[in-house]
Amino acid sequence: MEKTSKLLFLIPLLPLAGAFLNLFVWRVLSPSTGRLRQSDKLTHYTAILSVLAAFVLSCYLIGGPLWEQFNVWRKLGEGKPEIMGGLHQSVWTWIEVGSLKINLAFRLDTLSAVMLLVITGIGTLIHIYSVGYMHGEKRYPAYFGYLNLFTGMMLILVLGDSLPVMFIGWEGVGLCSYLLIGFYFDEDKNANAGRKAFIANRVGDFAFLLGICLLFYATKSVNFADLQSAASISALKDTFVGGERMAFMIGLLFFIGACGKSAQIPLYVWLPDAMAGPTPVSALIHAATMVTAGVYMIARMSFLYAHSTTAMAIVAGIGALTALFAAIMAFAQTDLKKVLAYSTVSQLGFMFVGVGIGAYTAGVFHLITHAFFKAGLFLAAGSVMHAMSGSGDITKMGGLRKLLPRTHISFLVYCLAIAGIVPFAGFFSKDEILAGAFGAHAEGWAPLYGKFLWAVLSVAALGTAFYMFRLYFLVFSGENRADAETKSHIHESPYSMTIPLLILAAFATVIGLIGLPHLQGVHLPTILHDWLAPSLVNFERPSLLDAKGLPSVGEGHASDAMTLGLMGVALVVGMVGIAAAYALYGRGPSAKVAKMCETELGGEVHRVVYNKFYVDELYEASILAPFRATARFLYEVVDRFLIDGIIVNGSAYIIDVLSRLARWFQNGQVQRYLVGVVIGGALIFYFASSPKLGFKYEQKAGNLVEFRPDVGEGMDAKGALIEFDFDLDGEPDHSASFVPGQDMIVPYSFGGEGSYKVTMTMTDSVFKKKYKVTRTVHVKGPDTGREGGAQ
Amino acid sequence: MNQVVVRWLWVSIAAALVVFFVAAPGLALAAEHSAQAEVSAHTFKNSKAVAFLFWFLAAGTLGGSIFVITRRNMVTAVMGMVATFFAIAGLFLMLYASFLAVMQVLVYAGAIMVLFVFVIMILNRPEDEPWAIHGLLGKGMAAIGLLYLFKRLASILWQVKDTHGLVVEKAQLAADVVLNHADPGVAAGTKELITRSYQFGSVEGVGYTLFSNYLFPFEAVSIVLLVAVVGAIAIARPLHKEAEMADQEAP
Amino acid sequence: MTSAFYDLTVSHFLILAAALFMIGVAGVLLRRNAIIVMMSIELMLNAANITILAFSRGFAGEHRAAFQGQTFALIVIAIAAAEAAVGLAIVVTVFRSRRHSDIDRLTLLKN
Repeated sequence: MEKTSKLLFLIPLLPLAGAFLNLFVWRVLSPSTGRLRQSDKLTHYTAILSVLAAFVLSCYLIGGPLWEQFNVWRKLGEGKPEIMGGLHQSVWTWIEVGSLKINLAFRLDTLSAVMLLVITGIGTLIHIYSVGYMHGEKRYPAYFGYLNLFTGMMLILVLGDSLPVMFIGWEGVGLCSYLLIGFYFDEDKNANAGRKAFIANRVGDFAFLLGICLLFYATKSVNFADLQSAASISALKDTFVGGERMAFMIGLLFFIGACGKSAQIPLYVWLPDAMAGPTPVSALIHAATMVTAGVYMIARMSFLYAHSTTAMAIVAGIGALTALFAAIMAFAQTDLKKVLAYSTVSQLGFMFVGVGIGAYTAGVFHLITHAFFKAGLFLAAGSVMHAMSGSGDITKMGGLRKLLPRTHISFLVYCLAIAGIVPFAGFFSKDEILAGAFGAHAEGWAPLYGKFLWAVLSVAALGTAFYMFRLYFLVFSGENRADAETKSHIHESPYSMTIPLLILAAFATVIGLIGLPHLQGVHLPTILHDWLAPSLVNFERPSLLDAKGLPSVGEGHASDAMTLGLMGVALVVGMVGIAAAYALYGRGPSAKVAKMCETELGGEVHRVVYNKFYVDELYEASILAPFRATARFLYEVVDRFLIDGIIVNGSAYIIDVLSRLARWFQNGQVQRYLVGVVIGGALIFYFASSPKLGFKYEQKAGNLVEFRPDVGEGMDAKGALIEFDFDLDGEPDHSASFVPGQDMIVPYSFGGEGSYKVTMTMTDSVFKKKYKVTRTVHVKGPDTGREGGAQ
Repeated sequence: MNQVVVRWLWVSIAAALVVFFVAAPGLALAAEHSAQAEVSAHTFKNSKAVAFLFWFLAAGTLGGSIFVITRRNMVTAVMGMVATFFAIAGLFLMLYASFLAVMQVLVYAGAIMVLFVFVIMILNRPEDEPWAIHGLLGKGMAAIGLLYLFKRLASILWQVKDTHGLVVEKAQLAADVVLNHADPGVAAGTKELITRSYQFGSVEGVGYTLFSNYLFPFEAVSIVLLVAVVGAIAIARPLHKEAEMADQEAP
Repeated sequence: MTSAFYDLTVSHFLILAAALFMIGVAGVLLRRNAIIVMMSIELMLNAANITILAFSRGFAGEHRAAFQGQTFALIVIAIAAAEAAVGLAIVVTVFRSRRHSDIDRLTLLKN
């Protein structure tokens, strides 16, 4: 059940075209002067309009054809297909090798539709915000070009109909992330942050690529429709590799890829450093869209993960740990954006728990709400930093509530949303994950694994509320701690920045309503759940799946009391976090905190948390230091000594010596050449005429032995006198002249069995030079009559 | 020319003439002898006179050539060369190459040596440092190599046996058997063979071969000579500018 | 020794030619005057001629082929004449421009 759309390819193409115009036309046409130029207007209009057009087109396609199809699908009765095909467009055949045929094809189903709206919608707002934030930037066209390129690549990622097409987007967003993190590459720190992000991503991307290869090896197909066919599913679940299903291996590789892209343990380290980029970039790439690509990918591959409870347990476990540790690390950060970065890592962990326990809708739901409030938080942080002359140090802020009213109100909304306070968006999505985790169990999982996940996440949620409001109180309440110079410049940001903030705040307030909880008693509209159902594996309809051994999770199992109780717990946890933050930081940095840090235990804890559990140092010691040592070894020993010293310079030295030798002959004087000719001729004669004297013998009947002289290849042998002395009396017993080409046979009868010494002498016919060789000849007795006579 | 040059000039010419005029009667003697003596397939006739003649000519050849390469004065070297060529002409005669011997005297000892003398006269510059002392080590090695080569070559050449013998000798060998042969045709053929054998090395014999079997090489050589003549003139002619300057200086 | 002295064979001529050739090579090797070097070359050519004629005398069996060697020697003489003419012309030219004919110092093609 799918429909062909001719407009689909335009969605990624529009931002890509904008990127092309910005990067290759406007940027080249306008030399950078540092002022807002006429061409800068052209630049941001191009950028904004291309993304806006993509947004409008997405709305049209989703609201029109896809909505129609969805309604038709929903009303189908028994025997309706599990998966709704959505809109499909094959642009051209990209790769065709043997049985492998990959089309550059796009598919818009309900899952990608959600992502599409998030990317283009929030993307448009962030583009608009950037106009104000990047005002006067030297590389203005490049910035918008990269941003557009990112949007286009992200759209390819979510719209790709097959894994290779998805991988184009996957790599493309990584590239844009690198370019934008290192946008201020004048400073080493920023350029290094870009590299760090790129390398950490590469680790994940490589695993992802391996996963694609393994998947193709297992199922012979790479596009999502074929992968969900019965044959492919069977190949995934009935093939075992090392005791685990093929689905586990592939799922694990994909998850490592997701860890890189979505900043999970152990590959999360790049995300905090990525804050070196411009703040709107952090909002768009490192909060709302790119980092959620891993979650999206796992949701997209839900049919695969559904067949390996082990893989799902790993995804959920890693997600929960990430959520907890990132939240704790956020406690002690003093940089506004760093706190938000750790918060992002933590929230991504929540999403992974969601997809890991099979509550895909919950994971995607949290992805959506998080996209709104976290993008908003970053933009608000940008607005604050804009006001604070670019500094993000929260110890120097405070009391900005009055000075930045619009920023303040939206920031508060976002904080309430992320802390999980009713009725803001984060409450519903986080609660859905928590509830799912509480009830999650699958065959093969440890007992109470779901409860454990829930407990960990609850602590993380407590931490989330605490560090977010710590941030809020430090920035907006109390006295302003900035110096006078900065203080005098504090001003509210322009409307191009604050209006997107307010729009996002509005969404952060209400977007939670699309995912109201499932209650048995009252039927609340569960819009998102219904909408995503045709794209995700649904554990309530296990006909497509192997029912046995699957997580008995998902939505709608728990009783109303349980559901409401968990909601209450979540709400209380959020409140407690806020209260704790108020108690400690309500009026700016309090003496209590300082005192706690002075105690031995408190100081130790503070130091560990402040240094982010020394993970960077751990990487430094475990990976980077050995790597550097290896590199130094390769450089000093292999490259400098072996390659440069021996191979390159050594060969050059040998050539040099040989050349000197050759130059001695090639000096341009005919006489010297003649010397060479003469010496060469003499050497030829010398080597061609040295005899290698010897002889062979063969015992014939009885004691008769035949000798064959072997005079070698020398010229001296011609006409030479060959003499044999058989009895060592010094007198030749046989002598003959050697004729080349004739076989010379000398017979001799020995007295009996035994060993004899035979001497052969060759006398050169011209100079009478003698060559002599002596060998021992063994004469065997007759076989007959010995040892009883076998014959 | 200084006194030394003049003296060596006369000595050389005298030596050359002596060599030639001693050789000529010796050769005549040898020719007669070989026609009459008994046949040997491998050696020249066992005549002491012939042997002495050979060693005399050999001494002339080697002595003359060593003289050539050791003289500082080029004119004396050329004179030694002339003597060498006369001796070589004598050797040619001993090898039944009478026409070649004549050519040797005419072309080499005559034309080419005159050319050398002319050039030496034109240059008119006595040699100041005759020996090329650069790369003495290499040259020493080359000298050792030369001696070794000569030794090896000699040991090989010494074993060369002229198994075929001469047409002359063959014919004479056959003569006794066949001249009185019953078949007149065979006798006539043998007679012709004998006649031809006396022509060995003659102008007629060489000319016959040259203009029959070797016509093409002959013509090719004539073209080579023509090219050489034109080339020599083109190379040796003074450049246009120099010629003009020479003309201006002349009067 | 007596026999080797009186019983002349083709080998005598060949070895004599070899000796003459070696002297020619030595001349080319050791002398630096271009004219002497050319004369040494002429010596080598004559050595070759003696060798040709000696083999011709020793091995020319059939009368049709009997004069091959002598014809060849004649051609060698002609070529030697041509070579001497061109070579001397070059020597003259070199001498005219450089005022010497020392082959050690004729290093225009070197470096």
